[in-house]
Amino acid sequence: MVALSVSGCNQTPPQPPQPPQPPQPPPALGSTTPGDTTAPKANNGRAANAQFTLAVRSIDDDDSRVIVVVTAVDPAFKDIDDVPEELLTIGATAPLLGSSQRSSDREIIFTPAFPLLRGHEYLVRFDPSHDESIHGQPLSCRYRVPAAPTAPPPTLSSIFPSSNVLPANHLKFYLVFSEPMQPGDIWNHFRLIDLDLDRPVPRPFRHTELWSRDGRTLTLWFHPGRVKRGLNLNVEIGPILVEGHRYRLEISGDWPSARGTLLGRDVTKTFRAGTADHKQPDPGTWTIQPPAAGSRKPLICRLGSAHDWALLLSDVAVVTEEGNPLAGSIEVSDDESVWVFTPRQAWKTGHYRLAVGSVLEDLAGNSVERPFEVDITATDAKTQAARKQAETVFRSFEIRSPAPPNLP
Amino acid sequence: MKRTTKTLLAAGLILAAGLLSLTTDAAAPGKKGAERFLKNIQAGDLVIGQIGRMSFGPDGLLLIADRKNGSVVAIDTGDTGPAKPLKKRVDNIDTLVGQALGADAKSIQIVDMAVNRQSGLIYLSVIRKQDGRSVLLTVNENGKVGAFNLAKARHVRVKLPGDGKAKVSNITGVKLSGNRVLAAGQSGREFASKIYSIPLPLEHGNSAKIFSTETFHVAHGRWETRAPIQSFIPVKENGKTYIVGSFSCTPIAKFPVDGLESGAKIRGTSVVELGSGNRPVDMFIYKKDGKNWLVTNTDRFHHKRRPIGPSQYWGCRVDLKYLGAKQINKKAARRNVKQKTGPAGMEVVDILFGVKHIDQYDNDKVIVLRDNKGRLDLEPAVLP
Repeated sequence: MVALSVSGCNQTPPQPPQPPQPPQPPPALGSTTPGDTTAPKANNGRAANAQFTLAVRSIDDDDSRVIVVVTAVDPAFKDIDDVPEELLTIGATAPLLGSSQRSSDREIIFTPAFPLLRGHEYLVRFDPSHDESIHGQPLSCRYRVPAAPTAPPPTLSSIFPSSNVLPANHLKFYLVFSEPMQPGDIWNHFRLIDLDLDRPVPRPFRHTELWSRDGRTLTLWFHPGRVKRGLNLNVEIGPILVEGHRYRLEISGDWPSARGTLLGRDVTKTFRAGTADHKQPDPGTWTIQPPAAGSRKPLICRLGSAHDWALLLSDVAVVTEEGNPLAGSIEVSDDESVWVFTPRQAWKTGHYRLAVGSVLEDLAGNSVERPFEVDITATDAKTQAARKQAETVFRSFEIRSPAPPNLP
Repeated sequence: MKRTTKTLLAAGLILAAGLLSLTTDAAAPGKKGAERFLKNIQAGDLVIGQIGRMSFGPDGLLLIADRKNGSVVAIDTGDTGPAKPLKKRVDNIDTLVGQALGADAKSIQIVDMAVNRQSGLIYLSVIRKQDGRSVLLTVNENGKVGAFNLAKARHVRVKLPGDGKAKVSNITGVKLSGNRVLAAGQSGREFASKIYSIPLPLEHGNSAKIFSTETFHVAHGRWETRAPIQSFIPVKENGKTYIVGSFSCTPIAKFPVDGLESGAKIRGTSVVELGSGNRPVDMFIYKKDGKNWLVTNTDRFHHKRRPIGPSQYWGCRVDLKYLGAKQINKKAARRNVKQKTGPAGMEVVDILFGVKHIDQYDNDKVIVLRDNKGRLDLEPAVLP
């Protein structure tokens, strides 16, 4: 059920008959500044003459979801079967998509196919000349959709990896925003500057938009064709990063959020390219510090090197000996080289396992399962074994009772 | 979970021209039209989080990728003809679409285009950037833009499994193939893609019988890496279904997809190299003068450095005989990047310069969305 309500333009008592007036040329249309909360004028979305009243009505108190209604003093619409498209319209520079229908002999309703844009102004027209059965003067008015309430601009709250030294074959960044950003054609918002050469690195990014489901985290990839050894781009124009060079990743402040508010200031991350990394992560080398039973103190795993931030959160877990996952929270620290698990309930004595998904990667895309690049001409057992890794790798640990206090 | 690894040996496979057509067997013979592909059809209240790639099946069945929700939406459009193809070029379709949505051309993104061969109606998946709204629009024979009412659409939605961790961040293609729908998904976390096989009929709310695979390809016969698929088409060959996929660096590779177990890995082999610096967009097959041609259009991101033609968007056709070639990977057939044609059976197609999207209307008759100095035109074209 749709409830119609008044939105600054609504039903006033019927006006006394007045002599026909020529239609007023509507002022220029446009959008207001994002965050502009200027209240719509009292006659917003309303016009009337002796024969007709034109009104924009909001649906469910949402000023962006509207219908346009033209009401006649007389049963002027009784002979209309199919409402001509041009009879009743609303649009910015041209009529919006939508549908019209005659709801009674005195009323025609236009329903836009999509909600209007907040902060934008529209021209509403009723032009009876488009149906020969109607006689009267045209009507027009403006309708301004109030802008969304002012809110703080979005922020780029984190960039992962956190380290300021990245392998020369580094693969991807995670950009975490405070709110969903505007998707589509985003690539002009990024630059990578080689600070040693004092010039932008040409076309370093993979132009595939990969957003998290909540629209807040973007995975920004370097172009893999320039990272992969032996691949045409890598051979022809070289890798993106050169070991020893310093770089600055720039994210433009001109990028608007999904609600239209600009990021406002450029955000940068400066780093140095270190040695290329072709080794796989090996959970067998991790140092596990189990806490004592009876507390909710965290389990601390020192990984020895930086790992993929997102995969550390999604693909590493603590399970019981029977394989049941333990509820708790995960944090990563020390440039994503330390994984910390805090259980929801106090630890109980017993044997547990750290379950590491074989998809877990380091910064260069080498996973527990396989190196980013596998030399298929190699015949050594280690390489072959790497290609047959299980889905999950386990590390066992034991939670013990706290040590008894030293007696005097 | 057991994983199996299958390696495609393309050697010896011969693509028979007459076996390339993809039949769409009725999954529910008792039902008519697009309904036979669907089960537990929902009426109305369809909201697409982020609209993406699309393709048409028979009888008005439209498949849409919902990137935000990691799912495939199938709509019974009811659009079954009669055929009224686009009569002539529509200039500045981006402006017309923007106006229809109350926005300017720069504030909308035409994500994909699909043509219903039965009606000729052109469907555009569009995002209005200012509020992120996903909409489905149509363009009729006269170039008039219309709205497809998703809120009243008869549809089913099938989730692509993400191990409960929502790993599918982008769906690069969704197509009907025989008794199933195939979809290719990319991850925002791993450098990999998965191919999903969803059996027909597509059942709303169901995601249980979905098989997932990972794809690889080999560079220079030595370095094997995971390889996200940018574009694909299913191909039937001697009764078996393969995916012919195109990757970021434009190798075209072939993967077998019959008989896969859930979680299986498939290792494709590069059979054709089109040259570096391109991102493939669309793929399809047509027949001309007794030959079957694979057509693909790409976005050349190294256009400024080494242009192939007047636009960064270009396309070519490849004789399908190359897909059955014995020479694979390092010895895969390579397009002569210094010439428009060559070796024999690989040709840059002039009418595809500037084309951002292309879809077939009738074998060699296509609709193209063409970049015209920053504006977009929609036009009918005929392939050579």
